[in-house]
Amino acid sequence: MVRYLETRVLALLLVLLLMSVVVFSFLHLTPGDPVDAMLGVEVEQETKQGLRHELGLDRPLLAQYALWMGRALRGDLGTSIRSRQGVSAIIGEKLPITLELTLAASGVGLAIALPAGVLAAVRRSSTLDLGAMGVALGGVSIPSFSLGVMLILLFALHWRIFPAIGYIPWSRDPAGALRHLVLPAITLGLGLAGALTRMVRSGVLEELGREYVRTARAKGLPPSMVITRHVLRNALLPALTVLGVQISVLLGGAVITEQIFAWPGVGQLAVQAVLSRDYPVLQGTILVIAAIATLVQLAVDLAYALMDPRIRLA
Amino acid sequence: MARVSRKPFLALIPAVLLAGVLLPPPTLAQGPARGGTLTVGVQSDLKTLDPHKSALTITYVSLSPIYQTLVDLGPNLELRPLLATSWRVGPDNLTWTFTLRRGVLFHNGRELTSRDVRFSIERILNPKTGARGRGDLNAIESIATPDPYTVQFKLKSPFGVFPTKLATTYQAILPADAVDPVTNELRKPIGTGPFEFVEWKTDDHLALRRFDRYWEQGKPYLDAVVVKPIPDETVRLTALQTGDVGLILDVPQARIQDLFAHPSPEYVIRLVRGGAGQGVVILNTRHRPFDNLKVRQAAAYALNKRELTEALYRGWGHPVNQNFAPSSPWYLKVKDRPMDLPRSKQLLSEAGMPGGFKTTATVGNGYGLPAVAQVYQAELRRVGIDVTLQVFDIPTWAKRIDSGDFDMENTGFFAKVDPDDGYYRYLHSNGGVWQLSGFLSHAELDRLLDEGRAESDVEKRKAIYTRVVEIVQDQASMVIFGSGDTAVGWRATVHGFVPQTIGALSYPGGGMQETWLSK
Repeated sequence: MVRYLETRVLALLLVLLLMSVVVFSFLHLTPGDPVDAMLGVEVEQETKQGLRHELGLDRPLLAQYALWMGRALRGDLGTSIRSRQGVSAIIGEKLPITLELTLAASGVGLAIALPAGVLAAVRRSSTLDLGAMGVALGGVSIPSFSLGVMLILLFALHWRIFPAIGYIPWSRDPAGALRHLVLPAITLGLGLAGALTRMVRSGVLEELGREYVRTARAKGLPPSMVITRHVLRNALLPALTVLGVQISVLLGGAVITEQIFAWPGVGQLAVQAVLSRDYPVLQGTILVIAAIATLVQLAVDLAYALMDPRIRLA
Repeated sequence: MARVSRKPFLALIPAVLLAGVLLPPPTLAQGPARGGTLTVGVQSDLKTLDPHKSALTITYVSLSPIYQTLVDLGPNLELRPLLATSWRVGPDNLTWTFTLRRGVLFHNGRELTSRDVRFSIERILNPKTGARGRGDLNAIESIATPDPYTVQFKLKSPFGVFPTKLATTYQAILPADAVDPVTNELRKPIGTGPFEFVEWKTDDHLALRRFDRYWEQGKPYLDAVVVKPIPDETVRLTALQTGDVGLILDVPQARIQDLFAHPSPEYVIRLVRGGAGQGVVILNTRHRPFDNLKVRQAAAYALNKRELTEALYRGWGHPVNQNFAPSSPWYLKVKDRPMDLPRSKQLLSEAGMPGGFKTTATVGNGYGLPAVAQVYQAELRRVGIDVTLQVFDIPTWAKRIDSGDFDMENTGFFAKVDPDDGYYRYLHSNGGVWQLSGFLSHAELDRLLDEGRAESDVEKRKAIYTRVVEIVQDQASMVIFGSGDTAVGWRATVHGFVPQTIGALSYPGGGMQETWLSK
């Protein structure tokens, strides 16, 4: 177990190092720099050059990378070109906001997918099954930009139940925080639910045909107990894999949903960083997201072992 | 959205008396109420809280409630006193004396003196600060402070429009103790404005609260202002419609028509004439065949300004032939060049290219620029000029334009305050953005631009700049085709706000200090 963890952590560090080189080179290969993005064309060269010098952008690329990497190794991700705030601080501020959305969306996804998937499997080929699969297909296929806008139109503009945009921290106003969270969480959660429902359904179907299920039934266990105690535990493994991958995707990829709902998370941060060529912020953000994605995968693998005693990590 | 807390009735009296002078009669009946928080939706987030180091227009949008300047601009960009109550130029035409307003306090409680003015202007002039406002103040040779309420600027050469260069938040007056003397970094955002800084969360909001000891008696009315960046224009408009924000500064141009056709009792949409600045097509006089005057004129005769204006401003613009909107006092009477295809073809023949030619336009992918490029591409084809469009993302495009690496291109210019602003930088051979006139080299222009800069008599300046516009039009390397309007919107509960052409949130006479909320 310890050796396994050691290998995984080493792999993680290697991935991060590679990522940093790739991200750094691609960013600097892109023509135009933060100063061009900030100032456009209607500004004197003297002003632009002054700003470049101040930002250290007139130094050789290798020197810039070495400086950045040296600092990053000491845990200092540098300073944002755009806002002049510490990158670690900015990410530290944005990450919990995105995590909140990711967790809420996973909650929505699971709350829909578990019952819907199980019911669809148990009542296989019934109208219920067809309905659940139809909804799942919809969830996967409707892109978040159209779903989000539809939800805003209905729930914010027409019925005025939830606010259209924005974010409120839980510490300031829990009720307000919840109201702001609902629409973006549903937008992201429905897509997740679509993918998960199908996995749960096929997992449960596969297990239902097994002999241990017959044994459990023969023992006289009530059907609900058979499903929750025996079938689900085995059926959830593939769904868990999907959930793990999806959470990594959500962390970095909730960009569109964050944009629609003006949710000030990591996705918005990354988009703005690209458009303004804010190298340190983008490098830092990608590194942190990559680290988390790798860690989530590790957690999923560990969870396998917990859920299925036959899997041993060597 | 807006929490309105009402203070005891007596506290309202001075505000009501004052409002009687400034506000139109319908609101007088009710009188400005005190209290409440106004959330303002803006296009983008700030880059920094340091008004000198920020080079973007968002600076004077979002930071104007915090920082003030010696003079500032009213709704139609007319010069108004702010921290200086008056100014005059000496008989040498070089020494400008500004008298400061007394009893103005910084947010740290200290009174504004001439030393702070000197400190701030010197900080802007310091090349290491990298201030956007530096180029405008280059004419300053030295600054003297004979007493705490008098500042004297000695200029290197006569500069009739010097006071206009001290306006907008780029030239903010900071207290000397707000800046670290070693690093030159701003320690804390402190100004003299109606609102003081509370917090800034990047990409989320800038929070400001009323400065209780603000120098305009009884103002501001609002308890707090929250400036919220909402980059997507549709999202921004939706936020106004749902009441998530109380005021937005840029209503999507494509939606203005519809919003006026279907007015809502819940919010107000107001047009700002000339707010979007001017659209321009630039032909590079250093690249063939645009080095030939006849070729440039042929291209200009083939352009339909109305179509180009429509493409850029979606119906909310006016064809113009100069760098000012028709609503500006500096919009001068010069007959525009009409579209004339036979004349265009004739000029091409005279230039030895009767069948036209091939060329390339360098187009930035943003700000509606590609739509304009597609229109002139189609128009020029009618006289045989075959334009290939090369589209780049904004930073890449900016790099190419800066280095003069283009045959033709199109862009937008910001709304301008003074003709020196509107012409010198682009057209003078010493101008800082000379590439934006396609490097037009013209001795008479240089001379006129120098004269216009030194002159302070308005009528003489009008004559000078009328000639400038004529030459620019004739030379056809910087073909200004249209001026655009913007629109702002606010909830029906918001009163007293008058939009300013360049979109400052706070300015003398109509900004955040005059704004109040009704229930």
